[in-house]
Amino acid sequence: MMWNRLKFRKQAEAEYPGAPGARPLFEARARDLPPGDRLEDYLDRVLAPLVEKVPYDARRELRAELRSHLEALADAYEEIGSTPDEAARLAVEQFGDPGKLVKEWLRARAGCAEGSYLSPFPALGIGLVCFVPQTLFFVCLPGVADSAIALSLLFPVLAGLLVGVLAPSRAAFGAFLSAAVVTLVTAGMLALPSVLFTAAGSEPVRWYEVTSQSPHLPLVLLQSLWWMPASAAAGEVGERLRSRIRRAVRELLIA
Amino acid sequence: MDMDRELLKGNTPTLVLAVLLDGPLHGYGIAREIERRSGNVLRFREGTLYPALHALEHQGLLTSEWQRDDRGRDKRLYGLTPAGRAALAERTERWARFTTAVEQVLGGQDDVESAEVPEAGGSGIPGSPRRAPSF
Repeated sequence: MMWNRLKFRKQAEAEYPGAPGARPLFEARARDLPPGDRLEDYLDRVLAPLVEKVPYDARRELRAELRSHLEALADAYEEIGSTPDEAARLAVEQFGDPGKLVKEWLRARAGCAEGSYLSPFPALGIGLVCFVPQTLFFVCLPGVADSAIALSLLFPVLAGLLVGVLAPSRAAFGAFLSAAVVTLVTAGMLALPSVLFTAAGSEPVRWYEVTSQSPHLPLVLLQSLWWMPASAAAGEVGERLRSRIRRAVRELLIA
Repeated sequence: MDMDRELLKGNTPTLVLAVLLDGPLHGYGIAREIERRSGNVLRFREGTLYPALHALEHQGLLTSEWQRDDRGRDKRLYGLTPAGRAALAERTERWARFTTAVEQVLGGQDDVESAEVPEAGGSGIPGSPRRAPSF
């Protein structure tokens, strides 16, 4: 690995006297690309940092938009006498540094506070604040669990909406994650009685006989089958609701 | 003439709103229109247009739709919303106030403002001009 890095550096220095490191090698590769590939290469460099941060559809739309602009620029340069290769190079140059472009684009998206692709932790925190008391309520008061379960069908919807409105940064993911965390903890509690029973050393009882009678079983089923998907969907709705409310308020203020 | 990039970047949203007042345009068209209207003075890295365009759209000041041109290329056309027109009017007025104030300072027309500047706002340095208190 180290040897390869040294070899690349030597090659780079041979091709670009005085140039440091492997960066000139990349430039040399970009310089040799055919015109169409040069535009695609530029788009790849813009879009690559957005993978895992921005949904596929948004990336595809951005790529199509930038490509149409770059192609129009290249066409304009060809019309005034540039060769296709030169036109593609000038179009890319006129567009600017792809790293700066993508940073500014992400900053602009985050500043809008809607569909921002930053940390899911605020949403996770609010989700946990909603779900943990509800879970404790069921666990501590198992006698009322059956009657309260019907009411709790509505609960994740309200919790998800709250997450979406208060923490729009990846609200659906945050709401889902918080419901998943409480589900895992409750599932762990479900297994606990059987562990204790075995440790006591009395007559052997199969674990599922204990867990099937546990008051936590309906809660875990409810959490995994309803809380997780419902809160994620409600989080997405809450996020959109927030952006609509903000837009309406802004229009009202401007008017 | 190469304008200050930061100054241009800060005012890109206003320029975009202004060129869209005459009708919808796509990103390339917006860049060309800004260049044309400014007599090729306002030229910028055209990639920086897109963060501004998308932010304006998220703010509800622009709306966009995809259209296919005669060469079969998909282009995204941007147009002003009613909120965008109102925002442009507000920004134009603010810009006019700002440029008037800057011109007055650069032109040394201190007699225009001197009547409104309170006596207590002076710097205290003998011979220094009076100035408004800083907030």
